Parts: sequence; C-alpha cells; structure tokens
Amino acid sequence: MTTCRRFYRECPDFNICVNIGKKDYVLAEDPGERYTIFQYGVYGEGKFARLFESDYITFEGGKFYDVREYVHDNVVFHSQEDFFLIGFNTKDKNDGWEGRLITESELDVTSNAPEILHRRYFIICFDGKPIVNGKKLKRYDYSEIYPNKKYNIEHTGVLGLFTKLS
Amino acid sequence: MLPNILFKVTSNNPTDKQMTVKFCRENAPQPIENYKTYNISHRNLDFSSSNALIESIRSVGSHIAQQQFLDEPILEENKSNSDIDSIDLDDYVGKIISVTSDSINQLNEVKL
Repeated sequence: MTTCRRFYRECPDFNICVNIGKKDYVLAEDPGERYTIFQYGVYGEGKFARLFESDYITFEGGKFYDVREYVHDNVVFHSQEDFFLIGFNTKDKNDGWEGRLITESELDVTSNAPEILHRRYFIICFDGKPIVNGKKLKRYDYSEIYPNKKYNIEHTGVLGLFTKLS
Repeated sequence: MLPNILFKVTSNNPTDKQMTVKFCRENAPQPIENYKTYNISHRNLDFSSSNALIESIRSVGSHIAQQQFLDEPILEENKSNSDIDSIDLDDYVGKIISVTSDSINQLNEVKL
C-alpha cells in the first residue's frame, strides 16, 4: 500500500506542511485546503500539476519550487519515488510572499527603498544543520531576520529565505 | 479525541431552576463520584426533547472532561528528561522522549 505521512508546523506568520511518502502515492488538494506557495524537495521525485492538465512540474530532491500560481487551483501530486516534501504555506492567500533558497554566505536584507520598508524576512531550515551567526539550526527551525544586520551563514544545510511583502 | 463522556445528575432544583451534575470520561481512572460537582442553570439546557437535553448537558461536560484528562498527573516514571538531537537510534535506546501527539505543532523559533 502506498502511504504518506503528513504533518504541519505553525508559527504566527506562516505554516509548514510536510509530506513524507512512498513511491506511487497520489495526493489531491482543492483550493479550500491548499495554502502552499513554495515547495522544497528533500529527496525523491514526483509530478505535480493542476487537475486534468497535461503540463506538470517534476519535484526533485534538493530543489526549490515556486508554486504560488497554483494556490487557487485543484492540484494533484504523484510520486515517482519515495519522497520527502516540505511546503511553505501562507496563512492568507491575499498576503504577498517571495521565497528562495539562500546561497550567499553573508545575508543582508538592508534596503533604503521606501516601498520595501515594511517587508519582513524569515529564514527556515529545510535540511542539514546550517550555522547562522554561530547558531546551529536544525530542520524546521526558523528565525525572523532584520535589516541593518548581517547574517553569516555556514552552508552545512539548506536554508530558505521568505519575504512577506506587506 | 476523548472516549465517551459520563454524566450523573446529582440533584435537581426546579424552584431555583438549577441542577448539579458530575462529569468524567468513560475510562477515567477514578469513579465518577470522586469528581467535582457542577451547577448548571436550566437556562443553559434544551428541554425540547430528551436527545436535545442530553446534547445540551454533553456540550457543558465535554470541555470539563477534557480538562480532567489534561490535568491528570504525569507519573514520575513517565517524566521525560531527554532532549536528543540525533538520527542514530542507539542514542534513543532506554530513554523516554516526550513529543506532541498532535500532527499540528509549533515551529521552533531561533533568535539570531
């Protein structure tokens, strides 16, 4: 039997949705329950698409995906291998978010542009044990980070950077 | 999810329009007699049918039974004192680890 273990982690500004499953698992979500806007594949592979559409994305381990355009749609996921996916969920679909993996060894979100003064920034550990400003993070640890401060990163793991736009 | 809730009406006072009742869950560790008695005003009950009356008593008792469950003491032998950060199962052997039973949990915030 193909199975999937699913759980959530919450914080005041966003949620994390984790799916760990076997090959050939099929997951369907409707817009009422779908709040995932970014996805990170820890391992495995699977096809993700809008219901009944032939175009699909292949989620792969170690890669980050922007799935904001699917948040109002019926979607399906079919795993081609055993898989481990972490979803970044907005709490409100009207909120604007940007997301990406962090590659730089020194992170600085300082900007004087007036239109981004009210942005908020969060980092989340997706894998491994990266070290930020001397603190070792583990999977699902998160931190709000702030402008006018530099964050030195040792990339002994995978970190995502998420920006709340308003 | 809790098992069935028991209630036992211990008195009824039509003059004051109040009753007293005890609640506990079906698999409670003590007899229902040992649990606290609660006053319920008739105004909080639905007398339109027997099912409605029982349902209105249940709605009062469910959170009481849940709180009783949460307030139960942790046995000294069951107290966890281990916080292990390891993927080696050998590190877990013989230790008691406490985790939430719920699939929804809080993310761990780290101050940097």
